[in-house]
Amino acid sequence: MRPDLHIELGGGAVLRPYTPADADALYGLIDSNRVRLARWFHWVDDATDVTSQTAYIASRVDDGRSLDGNGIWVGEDLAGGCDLMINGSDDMGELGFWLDEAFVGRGLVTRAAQALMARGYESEGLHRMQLRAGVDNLRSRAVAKRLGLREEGVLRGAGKVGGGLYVDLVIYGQVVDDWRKTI
Amino acid sequence: MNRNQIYWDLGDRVVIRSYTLDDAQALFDLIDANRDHLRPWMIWEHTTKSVDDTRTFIQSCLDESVSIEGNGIWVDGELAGGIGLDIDTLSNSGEIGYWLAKPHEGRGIITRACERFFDVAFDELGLHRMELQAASGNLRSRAVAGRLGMFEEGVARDGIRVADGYLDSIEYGILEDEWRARRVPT
Repeated sequence: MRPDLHIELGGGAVLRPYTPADADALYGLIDSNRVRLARWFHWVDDATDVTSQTAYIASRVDDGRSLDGNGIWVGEDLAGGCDLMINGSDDMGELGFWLDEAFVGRGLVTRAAQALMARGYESEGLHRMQLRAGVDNLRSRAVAKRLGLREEGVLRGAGKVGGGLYVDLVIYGQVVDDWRKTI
Repeated sequence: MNRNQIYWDLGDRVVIRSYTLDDAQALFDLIDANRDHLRPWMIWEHTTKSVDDTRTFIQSCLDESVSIEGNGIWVDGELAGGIGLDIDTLSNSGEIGYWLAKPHEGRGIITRACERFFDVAFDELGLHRMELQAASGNLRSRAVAGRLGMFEEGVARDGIRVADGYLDSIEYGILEDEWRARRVPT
C-alpha cells in the first residue's frame, strides 16, 4: 500500500487506498456482490464480517512497493477496488480489480488500471505488466484488451475461486515499449 | 514436516537437504565457480558477491514458514546445486526453481529432485498445481519440464529479468490428477 496514492479518475471518481474507517463500506460492498465475485475470487470466502476487512486493510502495510489496498470511490461511495502488485525481482507489475455491479460499464476499472500502469512504468521503473483473468470472465478480459495487454497463454486451474473451485486463467501481458506506443 | 529442515535421500548418492548457515561458504564457492554458467539465466548470480550474500539468502529461507526455499542438492556429500518450492496459498499452487553446477549436468539429477518435490507438493502439502518458469532459450531447463510431463501453457514476454535485460518466460504447469496419472506404477 502507498498511503499517499490519490488519483482522480474523472467524473468525480477517485482511486485511493483504504483507511481503517473504510472497513464497513468494504465489507458491505463485498457482501452485496458476494455471488458475482465468488465466481472469480477466492478472497470472497474470507470476507466473513467487518472485522475480516479491518484485518485486511491493516495487513496492507506501506512497504514502499506494491500499489495495493486501493478502493475506487465515486463521491462518497465505494465502487470497487484496483491494485498493482509489484514483483521487484522481475520488474513486473500485476493488476487486479473488482467492481460493484451498479458501477459496471462506466470505464472506472479501465481508467484506474491505466493510472496504476502509468505510475508503474514511469515512477516505479517497471518493465512489464501482467493480468490474469478467468477464461469465462469476459468483462475482465475486455478490460485487458482495452488496456492494450496481449493474450499470452492459458494457465490451467491456476485460479482458486469461491467454494474451493479452480478456474483456468488467461494470462495477459504488456512490455513497456508496447505501452509507450499506446500513449 | 518442518519446511526448513528437509533431508531427502534420492538414492544413487544424491541428497536434498535444507541449507544451514554453515553452508554459506560452500554455496558461495559453488556459485563463484559457475558464474559464466549461471549468468545468462539467474539474476542472483551477479548480486551474489560474497559469502555475506549467501548467508543472507540462507537466513531468509530459514525465516520462511510457507515455502520450501533454500535447499541444496548434494552429490557424494558435495554441494552440486539448489532447488526451492515457492508456495502460493491463495491459489494453492507451487512454483519450482532450481540450478545445477555444470559438472553435474546430464545425469537426471534435477528431474529426480523435482519429482520428489512434486510428490511432496501433491501428496503431503495438498497443492492443486505445480508451475515452472523457464527462459525460452534455456533448453536444458525446458527439457526438465518436458520430462516431468508439464504442459507449456504460455509465453510471458520479457517475464524474466536477468543481468543483461529481460527474457521471455515459458510458463509450464501440471495439475494434481495429471501428476498422479504419471506416478501410477506400471
